[in-house]
Amino acid sequence: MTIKYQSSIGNNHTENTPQTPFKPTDHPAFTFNSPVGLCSDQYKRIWVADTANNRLIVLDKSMTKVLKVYGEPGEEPGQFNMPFRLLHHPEKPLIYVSDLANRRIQVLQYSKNLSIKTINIFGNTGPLHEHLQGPNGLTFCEGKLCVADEFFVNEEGGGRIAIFSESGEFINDIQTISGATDPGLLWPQGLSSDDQGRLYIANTGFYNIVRCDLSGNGIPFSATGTPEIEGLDVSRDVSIINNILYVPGGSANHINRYSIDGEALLPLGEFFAPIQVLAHPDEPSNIVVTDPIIASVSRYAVIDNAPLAIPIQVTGPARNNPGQLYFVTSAITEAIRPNKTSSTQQNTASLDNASLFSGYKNPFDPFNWIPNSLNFWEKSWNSVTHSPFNNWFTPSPRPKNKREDAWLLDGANHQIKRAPLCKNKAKPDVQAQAESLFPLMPGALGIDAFHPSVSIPGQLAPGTALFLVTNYLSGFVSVLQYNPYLDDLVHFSFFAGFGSAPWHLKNPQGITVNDATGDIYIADTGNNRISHWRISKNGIIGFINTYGEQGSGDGQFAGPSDVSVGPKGQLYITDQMNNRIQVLNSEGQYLYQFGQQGYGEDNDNFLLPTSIQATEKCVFINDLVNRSLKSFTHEGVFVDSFSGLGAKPNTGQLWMPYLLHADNERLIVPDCATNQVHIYSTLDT
Amino acid sequence: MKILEAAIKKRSKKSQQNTIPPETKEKLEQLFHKATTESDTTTAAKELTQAHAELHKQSPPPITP
Repeated sequence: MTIKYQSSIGNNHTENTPQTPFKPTDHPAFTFNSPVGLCSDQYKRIWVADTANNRLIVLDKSMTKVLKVYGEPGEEPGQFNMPFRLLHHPEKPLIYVSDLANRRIQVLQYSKNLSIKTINIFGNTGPLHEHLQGPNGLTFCEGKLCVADEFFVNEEGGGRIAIFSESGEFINDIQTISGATDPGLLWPQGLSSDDQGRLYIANTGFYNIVRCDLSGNGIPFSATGTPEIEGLDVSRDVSIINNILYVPGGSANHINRYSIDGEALLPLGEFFAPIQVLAHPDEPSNIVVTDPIIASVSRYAVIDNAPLAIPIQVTGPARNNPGQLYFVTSAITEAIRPNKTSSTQQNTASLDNASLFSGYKNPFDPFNWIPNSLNFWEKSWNSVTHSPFNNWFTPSPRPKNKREDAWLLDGANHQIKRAPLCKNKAKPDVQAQAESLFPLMPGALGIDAFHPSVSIPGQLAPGTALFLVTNYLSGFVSVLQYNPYLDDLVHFSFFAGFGSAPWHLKNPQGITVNDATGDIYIADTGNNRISHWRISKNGIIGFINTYGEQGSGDGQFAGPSDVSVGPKGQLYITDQMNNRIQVLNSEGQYLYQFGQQGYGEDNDNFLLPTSIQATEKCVFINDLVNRSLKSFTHEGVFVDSFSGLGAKPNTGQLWMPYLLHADNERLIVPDCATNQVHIYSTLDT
Repeated sequence: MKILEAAIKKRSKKSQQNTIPPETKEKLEQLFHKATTESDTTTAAKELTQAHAELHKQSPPPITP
């Protein structure tokens, strides 16, 4: 089972950039795509790494005008693949760019009139140990350029800080921090330094900030007694502004702050998922913050002893242009389309009361009360939905060969979108347009479809699927149905809710339904278990059981993120924090497991396996940190993979792939950071 | 692979601690009932979206770039 990139859905609108300078508010089609890096230049302009669009944006100091758009996808000088962090030279008009997926540093020289040219590229030549594997954070410390090499892997599985001269000669690296509680570095991202020659590392894999000198000697914070600041939710960056450490996302929706001695200060709240903080070049009390998920760069005023920063300017139009995706998390394929050629005259046909009540039996019969009343309701409903009133819509079972659409859960636009899948596999449509459908609630994350074998009472379009959507915020699962009169999805039912009782869910992610039995399984991530429900032929959804508990033994889980039903009804589960796949039978009994923790693009090692789908032929797994889509036999033998970190368009490269979907022909993978949905052919060649 | 193992061990001890107040949960349940059983489903759906938007401000998604 080979995996071959075919096409992508999701328009990023980078082709028709307006002539600079322009106001972004005048050009809603000009949007950021997961912006990350920030720096300011000698003319107080603000540079933004528009990472998933593979370009740099230069804003004026008020952040209301775009002065320059520089770069495009590619490997040549001046081209980028995930430009991540930006660093201004301490004195010269030079900007260093960590060109992450090209695994190199580009040095750009700029002028007052924003003439920009690449004058140096390094990190990708010379002896192998000098090559950067994933350059992220940058800082100058004692005249040397330090690079957080996020994806470098040493023999212990750790990362490093690589140190270069300002012209790009490799000097040495730091792989361990002496004196630290956890001396290793893992996936270090952010980097800063102070005027005493001390490095501050956002050591992402260890959820801390660590301080050391250029030889890797840990320098304890007086407030913690160790070289580390702990207790962070995430640790992606650290900036030093006015002698205060800013750690964006250190706690949920906050920018944590610490004194230079590591003492916790009042965090700043009401952010979403901030990733980098910059001192505003013209106003010392202001900060500039990037947020990749809401695709914006914002300016805030910081007031002493206040828990909030006051927003002054938000730059970056919402990504709601036609065909555009905005934190796309999951996808399925369906073949629902209205019959556009039907006569509207048929809609006026009257209801047939005789047929409506033809199934009537005494509902109060003490021996048959429940089945009789359900039968009555079901038959009555069928007589309505199959009446001439509905003739303009042609219900049909799910045909295998009918043209299907991709239904995409577009999280930040709060919508399910529908996009046609390419007919011609030889000439795939690489930019399929996604049209908006049902408005979703914030927090919607996973989706699957249930194809009932009989029409369910209350269904407006018998023969069509019901859509089940998990919500990681509220723990509810929404059941949506297709409304043929509106050509849209509407509420049908709901179940569960936030909590830890057996019938509750806590931060649920993936969901799957067994069409043959109506069994519904949900990856109840926060409760470390699989939740089992069932939908009856009458549309009643009932709780069955939960399987598993927190742990690493057989049948135990650590953050299960997705679940899929195999051809024999068995459950395949991504046991994400345990870095393995567990297989249970349909009643939750442990059968076997496969995979183990480790790096590897083409083996059965996993690092945060995030999503899984079993088909009749094999099992597909999204192995997040390895940026690899892997296929296995049902028994767990590795077969094939498609891998590659990056954001280069029309290549299928991956940044943050999320809940995948597969059938026997293709694999559909939403990437919530590049905001594209990639489609891969899985037909044997 | 000692460093990787130490980090993964640390990670597995972390779990999302966000909670929802009981009154918010009750309100959500009522709104879901309205959205699925009453005639004015559109209004209920809008209120549901608003209630989730409030939760959204307090909790970033499970994975972020």
